[in-house]
This record gives sequence, C-alpha cells and structure tokens, in this order.
Amino acid sequence: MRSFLIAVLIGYCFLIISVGAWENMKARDENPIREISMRVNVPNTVTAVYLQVRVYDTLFEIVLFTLVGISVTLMLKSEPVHEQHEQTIITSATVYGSLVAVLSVTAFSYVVLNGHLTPGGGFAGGVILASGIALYGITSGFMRVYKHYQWLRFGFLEGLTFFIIVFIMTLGSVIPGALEKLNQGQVYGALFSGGVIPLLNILVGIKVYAASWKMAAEFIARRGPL
Amino acid sequence: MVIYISFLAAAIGIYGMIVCRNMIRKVISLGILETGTTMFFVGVSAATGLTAPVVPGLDNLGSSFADPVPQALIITGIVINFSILCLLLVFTIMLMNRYHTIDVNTIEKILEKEE
Amino acid sequence: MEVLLLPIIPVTCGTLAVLLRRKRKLPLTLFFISCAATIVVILTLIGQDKTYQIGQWGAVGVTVGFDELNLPFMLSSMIVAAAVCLSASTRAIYDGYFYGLVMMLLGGLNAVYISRDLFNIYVTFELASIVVYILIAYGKKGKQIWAAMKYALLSTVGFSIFLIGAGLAYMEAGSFSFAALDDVGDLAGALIFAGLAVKSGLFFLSMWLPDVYNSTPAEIPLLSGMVIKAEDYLILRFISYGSFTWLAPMYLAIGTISAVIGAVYAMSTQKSQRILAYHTFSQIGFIVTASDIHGAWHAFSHSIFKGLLLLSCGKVGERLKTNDLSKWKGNIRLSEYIPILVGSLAIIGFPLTSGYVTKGNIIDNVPFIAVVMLTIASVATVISFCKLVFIPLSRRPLKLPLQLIMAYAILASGILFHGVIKFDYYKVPESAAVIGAGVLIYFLIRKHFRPLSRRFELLDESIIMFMVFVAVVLTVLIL
Repeated sequence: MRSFLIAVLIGYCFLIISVGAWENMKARDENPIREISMRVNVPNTVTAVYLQVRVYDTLFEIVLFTLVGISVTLMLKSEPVHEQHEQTIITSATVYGSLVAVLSVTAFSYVVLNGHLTPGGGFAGGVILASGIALYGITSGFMRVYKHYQWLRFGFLEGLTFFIIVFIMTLGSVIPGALEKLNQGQVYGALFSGGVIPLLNILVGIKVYAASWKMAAEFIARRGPL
Repeated sequence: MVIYISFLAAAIGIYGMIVCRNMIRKVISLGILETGTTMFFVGVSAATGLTAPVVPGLDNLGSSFADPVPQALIITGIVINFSILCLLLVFTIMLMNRYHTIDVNTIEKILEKEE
Repeated sequence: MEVLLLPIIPVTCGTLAVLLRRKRKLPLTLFFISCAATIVVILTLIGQDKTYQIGQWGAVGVTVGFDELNLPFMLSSMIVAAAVCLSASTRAIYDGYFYGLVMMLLGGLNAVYISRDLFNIYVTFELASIVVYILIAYGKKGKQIWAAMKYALLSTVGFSIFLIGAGLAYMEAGSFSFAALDDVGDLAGALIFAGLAVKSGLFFLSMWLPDVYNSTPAEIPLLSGMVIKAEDYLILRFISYGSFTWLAPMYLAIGTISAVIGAVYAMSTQKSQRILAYHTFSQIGFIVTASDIHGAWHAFSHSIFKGLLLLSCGKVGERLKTNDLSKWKGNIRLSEYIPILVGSLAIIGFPLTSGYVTKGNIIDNVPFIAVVMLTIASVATVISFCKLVFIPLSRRPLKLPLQLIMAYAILASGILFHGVIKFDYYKVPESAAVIGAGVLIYFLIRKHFRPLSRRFELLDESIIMFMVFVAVVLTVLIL
C-alpha cells in the first residue's frame, strides 16, 4: 500500500512535468553551431564547447574528479583488503584479456588524438583505456597491472598532468581571446589544429585513465565476500 | 519521445531510491535517475536537428545539426555523476565494514540505539 | 575579469595543498595566502556592480558577475573558514588534506556566488558539496559516514530535479544564463526552486542536517553551514527573475512554517548540537521569508553567530564526551561559557549584537501575518536558548589554546562590530518584550520539555517528504 502511494506521488509529479515539457517543446531555429565552428575552427563542435567555449565549467569538473580520485584512495586506505593474491587465472582468458588490452590502447590513441575531428575526446578515451586495463587485470592477475602502474609512475604523472591542465584551463578562462587567435591560424580539419584542444585531450585522457583505474583497483581490492 | 522516456527513467530511479532497502540498490537507482537526466539533455539537444554536431566543412553548413551545447555540458554532468557514485560506493563499503549489513533500516536502528 | 580570481586562487591553492598534503606547515600558509588575496580582490570590488562574459560567446558562454547581494555571503564564508582553520590547527588529526579541502570549499562557494549561469552553478555547487561529504566522513566513524551518505543521496536527487529544470530553461530560451530566466515559463522555475530546496536548510526538506551536526567534530558543522548559505543565496537571487515571481507567496509560507516548527523542535530537545541544528531551520526560515538584501545580511550574521555557538558547544561536548545538556550542568568552565553567552545573546536578538540588527530589519520589511509568525519563532528561540544561558558553571579555571581563543575572537568581534555600528534605538522595547516573555515562559514550563518524534529524519521519509514538496510546488503551479 505504501509503495503504491509513493508510485502515485512520483507519477503525479512527472506527469505534470511531462505535460509542461510538451507545451514548451518546439523545434528551435537558432543553433549556435555556426558561430562555434567558425570561431573555434574545429569540426567536432562538442569538443570545442567542452574545452574552449565553456572551459570554465570543465576546469571545476577536472578539479572535482581529481579530488574524488584522491579521496577514494585516502578513505579506503584504512579498510581491510580481501585476498588480493589469490586469483584464479585461466590461460585462454589471459590471451583474450591481452587482446582486449591491446585493442583498448589502440582505441584510446585514436579517440584521444582525433578528439577534435571525430566524435570522442579525452574523457571517453580515458574510460576506454581504464576499462580495457581493468579487464586485463581480472583475467591475468592484478599484481602484474599494479607493477605496470608503478613502473610507468602513473601516480606522479597524474599530478603533473593535472597541474598542466589546470594551468591551461585557467589561461583559457582568464584570457580567452589569445587562445582563439591561436585557433584561427590553423588549417580546418587537420590533425594539428584547434590550438590547445588536442593537447588538452591527451592530458585529460591520461588523467582520467589514471584516476578511474586507480578507483576501480581500490574497489576490486576490497570487493569483500563476493 | 526521448524526453518522455527520460522522465520515465527518472521516475523509476526515484521510486527505487525510496522503496529499496538495500544500499547498493539505492545507489543503482540513483544511477538510473542520473541516466534519466542525461537522456533528457540529449533530447534537448535534438530540438534543432538530428545530425551529429560534427561539421565536415565550413562551406556546407546545413541547418539540421543537433545543438552541441547540451551535449558538451552533459559530459561534465556524466563525470560528476560518476564521481558521486564512486563516493557513495566508498561510503557503502565503509558502512559494510563497520555494521556488517547494507540494510538501511537496520543501520538506522543501530544508530538510534547508539545515541 | 578580476572577478574570476575569486574562485581560481583558492581552488588552485587547495589542489596544491591536497597534492602536497604530507608537508605540515605549507597547507596552512597557503590557506592564509589565498584568504588574504581573496579579501584584497573583494575590497577592490566593493560597491561595484559588474558582469563579465568569458570569451564573448553570447547566450552560449559563461557569465560571471559581482554585486551587493554577493558581499555578505562571501565575507561570512571567509570569516568562518578562517576561524575553522585556526581552531583546527590545534589538533593533530587535521593534516594538509583537510586545509586543502577547506580551500576548495571556499573556492567552489566563491564560484557559486559569482556565477550567473545555471549549469555553471550545478558544477561548482557539486564541487562544494562533494568537499563537504568528504569532510563529514573525515573522522571515519560509522554515524559520520551514514550522515554523509544520507546527505549525498538526498542532495543528488535534488540536483537531478534542478538539472531537469535547467534543461527545460535551455529548451525554451536557448541559453543557460540567468538573464534568460526572465523569458522562460514557470515550470522551469518551479523545478529549479524545488531542486535547490533540499540543501537550503528548511524544515521538512533538509532533514539530514541534525545528523550531520550531531555526529561530527566541532569544526565540520561550520563548513556544512557555509554550503547551506550558498543555497539560500541562490534562492534570494532567483526571486528577482520573471519565472520565479509567482513563488513569492510560497517563500513566505514555507519560510514562516520552517521558522516556527524549527524553533519548537529546538525547544523540546536536550542535546546541544540538535538545538543548534533545529535553530538553523528556524533562522533559514527568517532568511527565506525576507528574501531580499536584509535576508542576505541576516545570513551573514547567522553564519557568524551560529559558527561561534557550534564551535564553542562542540568543544565543550568533546571535552565532556556528551552533547546532553543535563550532564553539562556544573561542568562548564567560565572561559568556555563566554563564547556560548555571546552567541546566544546574538541569536535571541539582544541589543548591540548583529542578530538584533538584522532580525529587526527583517521584521520591518515583511507583511503582517509573517510578523506574527516570526515573533512567535523569536520567543521560542529565547526559550530554547535559556537552557544554554542559565546553565550552572564550574568554578575551576580552564586554559584554552591560543589559536582557539583567536578563532572565538574573530567570530565574536564580527558579531559585536556589526551590532554596534548598525545599532538603532527604536527596536529596543520590542526586543526587550520578546526576551522577557521568553525567559518568563522558560521558567514556567522548563520541567515539561519532551523530545518530539524524529521520524522525519529517516532517509526514506525525507526523500518522500521532498517528493511531496515537489508535488505541492507543481500543484500550486497548475492551479
């Protein structure tokens, strides 16, 4: 009875919202895409908005994501770790896992490097790489992935990339005119175009990979009695 | 159409958040609610057209491109929702280690007794 | 352009402090540097009313600005954060990570205050509130984690509703900026208001608040109070736009109800931190009822005197290991009692304190029915704070650390300075009548206080209550 009443309440709210949205819904004519693609001078306007037009939002988003990454690690430090070394490894799964890892590295490079030309970008690339590596870890042992992580010094790299990102994005929101001039001088649709956008894509990709893989690894190490 | 389905998803998410007593399920319901808002923004961006907003050349700018601004902004939204879900899962793990249950009502009863 | 420095300086210093958290002295130094720099920027901006558009992108880009409504909120968050850091520097458990979080909170809140864009508000507000979730769970005790979890679940639901409202506004106007809020329909306004109300600290909506205040160490509730003030700032800011004007009677109703019920709940409880939490509901009711520049200055004075009360009561509670007022009797030392007394006098509106000034201004500027309700709430406030003021003292002396005395001094001088320079004679009889009536009623009924039901504070009930509130707002909209 109680859950039925709750369903009625929520249904009522969303019915009114739907009716209101129906009244407001109309095809809009003015589209900012023309001005954006002219001024930023890259084909993928979504990335242009994300990293240049509204870079002030993205600055806070990156700060937030980094903060959560650090906090997850710090908060879980005192929690008990469950049988990390005992892991069943099946050889055929290892082969497929390595294949997925290689494919994800390739996809990461493509998506990140072409983020300003085709759909994609730093965040999507980072998540692709992190999920591929996590799959590799599940099939062929986490200790190997941890060793790679430490060998490539991703902890240090993450802090460094983060500082460069914050620096560029602060410049982008304080003196937006200068970065726009940089864009205008370059060829539309070339690999090296769009001013700081490709650089930011690469840095955000590395950053997102490092932070999300670290979070996933913390969760897997404390997966409990599952 | 996308907009109505997104409202439906949001309603299911809120319903699940109230009715489920399991904390993991509450977090998953929150994920459904956030997916609903994401879908709503995709629907908003389709108001100007349905082509993906990747402009092949500056000379043939058609009028049926989707609006890039809501799409770009909801990337920010997705990242924020992802961070919040991570944080909530961390809280769940910590509560599980302290009280050995993920049932919300049990935890609230234990806390009331503590006071 | 210099407006942008207000959030960017603290956020950059904060991230630096979080990454270099192992150093002992550096984060505190960075905190005071960023505080000083921000205050210099604010001083150059006082009295101006300017907006700045990042990159000249028109309706698509982000707009920031600064005007007189921002000033009290920014000043109060700065003062409270300085007091918190001074008080925290006496303890070993707070390392560089803590100061980094406080700086990020300050930067995120400054970004909320200067922002003139709906989506930017969402991002920066989520930054500030995630910092607060982490700070609440900082002690890693079970009930702190549960309080943080409850807060996070509730406010994320609220922000999803807010995002739907912002999307509707974009659908109609093609822009997220506040200037477009004049052209959009009432539905977007309703959803934005309802989504923000979860964190605003109003009774029936923000029931996560007593748990947070009751379970955390003395410094943390002050910081979560700063986030509540930011939400109230948004509520005050939005009322001047076209799609929100129909909500003005709603503000009045919900503000007065929250003021009275919060004070009644506070009257009936015996735990010090719970009294303060319920009084936050009551005082936020005052602010929302006024919803103009007087409300903004009441938010300023409220965050300072409530900060003083929370800090001093929390310290006493930590020393005695209980928040129960009946166990405090005869155990409070004089040096702990003085800050509690100053804060209590300010909250009940004693002349020469800031509470007297701002409460008087609010009561002068609201309709008659609201005056009656707010006077009842003031009397109930006096009754419940008599419990703290007339508490028996212990004669033994206690030496407080220097940093803690400095923190108390900052907050108390804020109260007295504000109260003395804005002092006005003609309100004294009213204030004396309210205080006299309150004290009299307290001595008549002090044996009959019984704790009221805390059912509203359960997680499921508070989400249901929030949905009922959304339904009520939408029903008012279509009627």
